Parts: sequence; structure tokens; C-alpha cells
Amino acid sequence: MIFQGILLIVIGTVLLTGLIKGRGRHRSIVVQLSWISVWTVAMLLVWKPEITSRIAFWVGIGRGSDLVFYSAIIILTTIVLILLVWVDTLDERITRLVQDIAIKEYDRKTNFKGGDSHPHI
Amino acid sequence: MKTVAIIPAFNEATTVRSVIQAVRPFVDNIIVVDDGSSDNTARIAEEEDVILIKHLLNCGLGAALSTGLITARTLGADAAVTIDADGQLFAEDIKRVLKPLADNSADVVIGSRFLNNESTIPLIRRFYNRIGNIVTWALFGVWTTDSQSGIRAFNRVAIKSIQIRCSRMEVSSEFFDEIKKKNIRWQEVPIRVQYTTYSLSKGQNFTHGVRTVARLALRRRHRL
Repeated sequence: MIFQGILLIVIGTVLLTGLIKGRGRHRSIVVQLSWISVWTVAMLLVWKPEITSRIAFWVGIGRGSDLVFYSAIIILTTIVLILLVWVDTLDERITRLVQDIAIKEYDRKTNFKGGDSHPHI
Repeated sequence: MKTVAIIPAFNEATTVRSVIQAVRPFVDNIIVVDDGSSDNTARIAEEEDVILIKHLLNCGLGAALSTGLITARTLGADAAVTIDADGQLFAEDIKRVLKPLADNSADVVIGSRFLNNESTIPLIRRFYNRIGNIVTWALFGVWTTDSQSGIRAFNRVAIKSIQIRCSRMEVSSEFFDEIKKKNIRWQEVPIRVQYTTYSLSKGQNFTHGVRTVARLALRRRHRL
């Protein structure tokens, strides 16, 4: 019960913080509703853990805790992949910036017109 | 034919001078792209008569080659040859990779270490290269005998049309993606190679290989 209580407080705080931040950043109603749905479902599953057992039985997994474990692996893997793509994009942008600075610096030193020809910037 | 050599260099103070001097007789201009070296690579290159472009940060082989090709395009080069700065390749082979361009039988020429002297190459290098060839074929549908070649030549058409997006080692395979996408005529010619303790310490290893494959897969995902 203690763990349940702590988890409910944490999830509730995440839900409210996200909503307040979302309002400040003018997030769309769809994003706000999705945020509310995801965290409300999480609170419901913490409050009534037997629901996970029912879903687990329905999808053919033995126990509710196994369902939570498998779902967590899928969700975390997806998040890691999204972060990898994000880091890759960031790396590409930094590279273009470094290239542009390098060519412009050479241009400045020698009146070489390299900076105008970069196809990506 | 106005020919430029592009030498990407990262911490190559030991070999960069000798590579520049070896390359000079075969080209009109030399572009050295110092990719954020922390040693004296840039200072040594500056002492030679080259066009030195300095990256503030180490961005990788792909970024250095891309910067070199952009510079070659701006210089109005008719042909550009890329050659590694680790001293593993023979500058005389520049003549071999330029010949099909001069004959107008190809737009891009890849120097292949595996066309005639495979036995001199360490087994582990042959293995990594074979994996690289298979990955290049699987992702981009082009079969090559040397997907990780360190010497390539491009004519004016190729210099203009090839756009590199990969910033690191995966660029070697990305060239084949560009060749296929843009219907560029290409050829392989045999080149020689010498392995030294120094050059072996600079090359690919298993971790690099896994990272390279992951990045290539990401590039393919971006393309889709």
C-alpha cells in the first residue's frame, strides 16, 4: 500500500506538471488529451493492479507483472530508438555548422568563395 | 584537366607531410581537411603548399570528405581524388584511378585493394571489409569488392552531384548509395596497399564496425 501511494503521488505530479507546462507552451488539445490518458491509465493500473492480470490473461501472458515488464521493455526500447535518431540529427546539424565555419574561415583568410556553395546549409 | 587531391586528416602528424609530398606530383592542388586534430597535423600541413581547411571539432571522415568535395567544387576542379592520410596507400595509384575519368569511361572510380593483392591484407581486415561489402549491398543494392576503400576519384559531374550526409566512417558505403541513386557511372581499379603498425592502429575495429552498420541503417531509414 505504501508503494502504491508513493507511485500514485509521483504519477499524479508528473501528470499535473506536464499539463501546466503544456498550457504554457500552447500544446495542442490532442497532445494534452494524450498526456492525460497515458498517465490516467498508469494511475488506474497502480490503483487496481488486478486489471493488468486480466489484460495479461486476455493477451496470453501468465501474470500481470509480466505484462508490465514486457510493456516496459517495448516502451523503453522505443524511447531509446527515438533518442538515437534525435542524437543522429543533432550530430548532423553540428557537423554542417563545423563545415560551414571551416569554409567561411578559409574564405575570410584568402577571399576564397567556399562558403556560398554549401548544399546543406 | 585540373585535378585536386583531398586528404582528410585526424591526428596524422606522423604521416601527413610524407603523404602530401607523395601526392603532389600527381595533382594540381591539394586540399587537406584537418578534422579537429589535437596534434600538429594542421601546423605541418600549413608548412606545405596546400589548401588547409580546419574543422573546429572532430566530425569524422564523412564530414572531412564532404568539406573537401565542397572545396573542390568551388575551386572548379575537373577531377578530385580522395586519399587517406595514414600512409597506407601508394600515391602512384592516383594515376590509375584518374585514367577512367580521363578516358570518360566512368564518373567515379574506386581503388580496390582486393582486385589483385588480397593476400597481403591481414585476415581481420579482409573479414571487416567483406562484412562492409555485404552491408553495402544489402542496404544500397550495389556490389563492390572494396566498400571501405581509401582512394576514390570523382569527375566534375560526380563532384557536383554527390552529396554526403553521413559524417563518419559509414561515408565509404554512402558513396555507393549516391552512385546508385544518381545513376553515376562507376568503375573499380586495382590499387596496392601497405600495412604498417601505425596504419593498422588507425583503422576499423569491431565496435566501429557495429556503430557504422547502425548509422548506415539510420541513414537508410532517413532515406525512406
